Amino acid sequence: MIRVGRRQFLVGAGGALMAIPALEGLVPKAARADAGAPPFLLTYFQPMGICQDLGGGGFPESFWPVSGPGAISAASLAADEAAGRTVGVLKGFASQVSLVRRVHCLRTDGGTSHNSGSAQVLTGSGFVNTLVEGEFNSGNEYHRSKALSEDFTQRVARDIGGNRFIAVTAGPLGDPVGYAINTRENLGQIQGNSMNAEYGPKNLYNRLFPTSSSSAQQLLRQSANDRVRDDLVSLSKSSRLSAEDKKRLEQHTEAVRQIELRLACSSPPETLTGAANNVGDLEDWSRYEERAKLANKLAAIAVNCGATQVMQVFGTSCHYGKHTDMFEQGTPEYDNGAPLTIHDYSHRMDNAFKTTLPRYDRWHMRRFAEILHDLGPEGFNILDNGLALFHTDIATGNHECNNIPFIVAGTAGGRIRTGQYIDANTTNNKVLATLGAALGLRDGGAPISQFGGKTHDSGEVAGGHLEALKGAAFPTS
Amino acid sequence: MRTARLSSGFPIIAFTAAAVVLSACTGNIGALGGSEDSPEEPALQPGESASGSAGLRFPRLSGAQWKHSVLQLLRLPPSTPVSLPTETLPHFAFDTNQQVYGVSSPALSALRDTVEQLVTLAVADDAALTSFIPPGAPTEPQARAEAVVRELLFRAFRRPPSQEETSKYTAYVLGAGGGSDNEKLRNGLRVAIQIAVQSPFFLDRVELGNEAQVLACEVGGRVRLTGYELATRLSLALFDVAPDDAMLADAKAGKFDDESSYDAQIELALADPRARATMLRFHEQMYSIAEFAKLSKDGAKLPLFQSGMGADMQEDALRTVGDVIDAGGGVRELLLTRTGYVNARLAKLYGIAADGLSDSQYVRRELPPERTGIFTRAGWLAWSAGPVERKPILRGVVLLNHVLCEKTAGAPPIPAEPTYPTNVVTNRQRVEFATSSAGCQSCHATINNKGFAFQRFDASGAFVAQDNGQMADATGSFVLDGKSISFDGAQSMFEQVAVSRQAQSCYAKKWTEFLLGYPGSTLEEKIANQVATLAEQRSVPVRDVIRAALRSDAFTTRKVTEAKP
Repeated sequence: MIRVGRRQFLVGAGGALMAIPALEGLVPKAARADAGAPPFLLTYFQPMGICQDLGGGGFPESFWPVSGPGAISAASLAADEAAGRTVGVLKGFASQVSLVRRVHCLRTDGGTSHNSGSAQVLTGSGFVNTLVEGEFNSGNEYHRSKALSEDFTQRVARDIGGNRFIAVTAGPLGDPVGYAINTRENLGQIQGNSMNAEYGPKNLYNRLFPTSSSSAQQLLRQSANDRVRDDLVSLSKSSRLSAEDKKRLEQHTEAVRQIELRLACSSPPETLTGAANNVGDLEDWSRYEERAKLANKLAAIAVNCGATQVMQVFGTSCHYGKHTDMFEQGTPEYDNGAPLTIHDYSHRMDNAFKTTLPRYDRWHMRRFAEILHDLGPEGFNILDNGLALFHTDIATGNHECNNIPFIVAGTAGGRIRTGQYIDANTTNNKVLATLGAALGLRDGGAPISQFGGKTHDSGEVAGGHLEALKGAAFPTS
Repeated sequence: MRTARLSSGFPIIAFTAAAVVLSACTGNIGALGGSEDSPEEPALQPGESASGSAGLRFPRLSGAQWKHSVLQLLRLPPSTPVSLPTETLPHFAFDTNQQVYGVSSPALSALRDTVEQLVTLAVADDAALTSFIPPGAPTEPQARAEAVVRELLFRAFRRPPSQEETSKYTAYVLGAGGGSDNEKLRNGLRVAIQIAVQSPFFLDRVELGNEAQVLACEVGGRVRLTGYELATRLSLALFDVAPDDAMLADAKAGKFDDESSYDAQIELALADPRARATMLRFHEQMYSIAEFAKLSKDGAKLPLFQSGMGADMQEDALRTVGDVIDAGGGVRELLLTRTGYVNARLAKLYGIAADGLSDSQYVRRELPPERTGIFTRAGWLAWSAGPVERKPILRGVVLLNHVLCEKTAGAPPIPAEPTYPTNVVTNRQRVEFATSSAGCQSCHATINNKGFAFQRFDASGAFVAQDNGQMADATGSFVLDGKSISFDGAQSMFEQVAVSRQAQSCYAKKWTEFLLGYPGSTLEEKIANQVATLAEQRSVPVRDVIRAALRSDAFTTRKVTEAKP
């Protein structure tokens, strides 16, 4: 849980001590809930692959559903969760997601581990290796795999009118080092130029709400709204309510949320200001999860308020370091007692870590589920208007660039089919073309049927769509 | 049930909640003469929004009720300017209609913004602050804050606050900054008030009833509202404002908890000038009187109507209604009254002597026989007409809905004006021609004949002999109280309608709808029947109709619909 009290008291400009609303209730949902609202895209990146069985004695399977492919349901995902499968975390969103396995990047060899994946996964193209001057890896010349074409999020932002592109990095450090730099640059490729990410919730907050200002009135409004919600909750607990009464209370509660939305969007939520300023130093690993949650919540606010139509969330910065909160049983250590980094952890192939890797996957899936919740159901369901995409850079800790997991949430106006587990066995350019067409991307006057597709030897692979992902309203012209 | 006496001394069967006081619930609705299967909550009327709710346990205060209640809570003068967005009423709906007042975020935001302005006035200085400090309150800051909060919440929530509520709001007050104790209290009170008036406990008329009684009562039974809830309902219904300090004190003293005490409260309320204002407001809405002031006509074709006469007509109608109320009259008198209030130009329009009159003074006068009843006053007749032409369909629909309570289908899209044959000349002939198809006649056979009764009144409200150059035809017939009646003109029609059971019953239904905030309940039908039965013997005063509604189970109890744990 984010460590912000249900009531935090601040001294407002007018000198009055006032309560500020709860963080949990501050994610505005309704701005995009209206039919006809512009589409959005939110991507969530989990670095370093997942724990999935690709055959050949690698990692055990702990990610995908036990059964299938085929239809999924809350019950089936609950059973998967009970069986230790990571996607079970999404049981509450079963009807709103499609689980897509076996998505292959175009180039599966000759790369530089993570960079090879990050350069391809959202570009739909291959990669080239670039010598990085002055950098050496174990005494060898160091190459980086560089993207060949534009990132999917950039194209969507450009074409569907995103007013601002924001990359959320929930990362622990101010600046990524090593391969993480390249990963970040590859994910967010803008026609050859990498974009700037925001590190830490405070920076993200300032970017989301650059003109924010604090006022006593704003604090009081938020406080009053919070109190009204308390009263509504109090009323709703009465044993003397009919169904009609409950419906009315829900309407009132929704109206309160709508007001929160406007408060949050027109002026930044003060609670988040406080929280963003109070989540510890970025080097403070003990509060990593807290920062991640807060940044994700800000990302949801940005989308819900319409501050941006495209949001790219880095589940972590792919950086080395301890991620204490991720590990349910404490930070793993090397045999000599030195703490393992998250990178080390994900790649350990010994049996002990094979059995604990699913915790790392579940940690990320919980974060993704929290974002879906903040975007999602409870009657607002902005997922009807857009898409949220979970992906990794590589398939497993073995650095494969094929078998990348894609989890697609939302229907983008009925254009994407959900509630299913798909064995795609296809290239990512086709999956991205499917998602792009659903979001309204067009080439030559028609919905796109190719995204990326460029190969490192100047060739191009065939485009097309992943038929199983097409919803009833998928555009045909 | 009990036998009670209305103020006029006539026996009347009044529905009471006596049994409720003694036991958990009233039990059987059917015992009151209705059907067990009759839905108590109303069906939506044609043209009304299906999104609304009726018979809610948390109906929102109307905009006016909220405004009056906030000013009262803040101890600001009722004349304090308050601007709220207009909330559109459905056709033929009263301003008390629960379906109108939603809890949308724009509405709530507008109320919040208004409070932010008003609260500054309310605690502007120490003198104003003093009015929020209960007599005998401790001087120690924390104890004083708690006393202030308890009193504030009692007045705002119309019930004693819980200890938890008091503690929370006291924390708001104590947390305020400021120099002196009074300044701190003022800052804190400002915060507490802003939060309190946005609470559903202020914004809504919360009517949960006594929890033990509700739990002991079977689904479908009825439980009596608590004394505080009943006081709130009564005050809002008759005064359009939450109960004041005196009424809350009476509720606290249990003076709404038993039948005789509650009857006394009704009498107190009916004697209050605010109740008379509400009676006028009811009729203002029934007869669209508030809209008269906006009337404009084609002066070239209707020379008797002069600019600004709408206000004269409004004055005429309101004063006439007031006279009927004050004289102990009821709907019979309203439909038959021949007295009106005229100034010089209105007298001219009515065709009576204007000697000694000016346009700035209104004088009570006996009007000609054709001016029988409120619907024959210039105001309503001009309102139910266009700039030049009469609107017999509108006139008929209003009569059906407001006087006879006969339902009509929702208005279809208005068709293009047909090309009339050369022998179709008069306004009546044109309406008959345009609505002559079988599809139209399914409704217009019922509507038109009532509207045609007014054909001798033109669009300015003047009495005329002709209709587009031919003799006006104001004859008609329809079924009233199960019998066919015939008439030639509004006078002969109203002389029959005014004494009908149907009109008496309808008038009572309208009052019940107005007081309850939603139409069409089974209990409303019972009240109407009761009034109509009495009306067979004599005229039923407006106040007696109100008494019947206020004493009824429909008003004093609520239906148990919640599932039992």
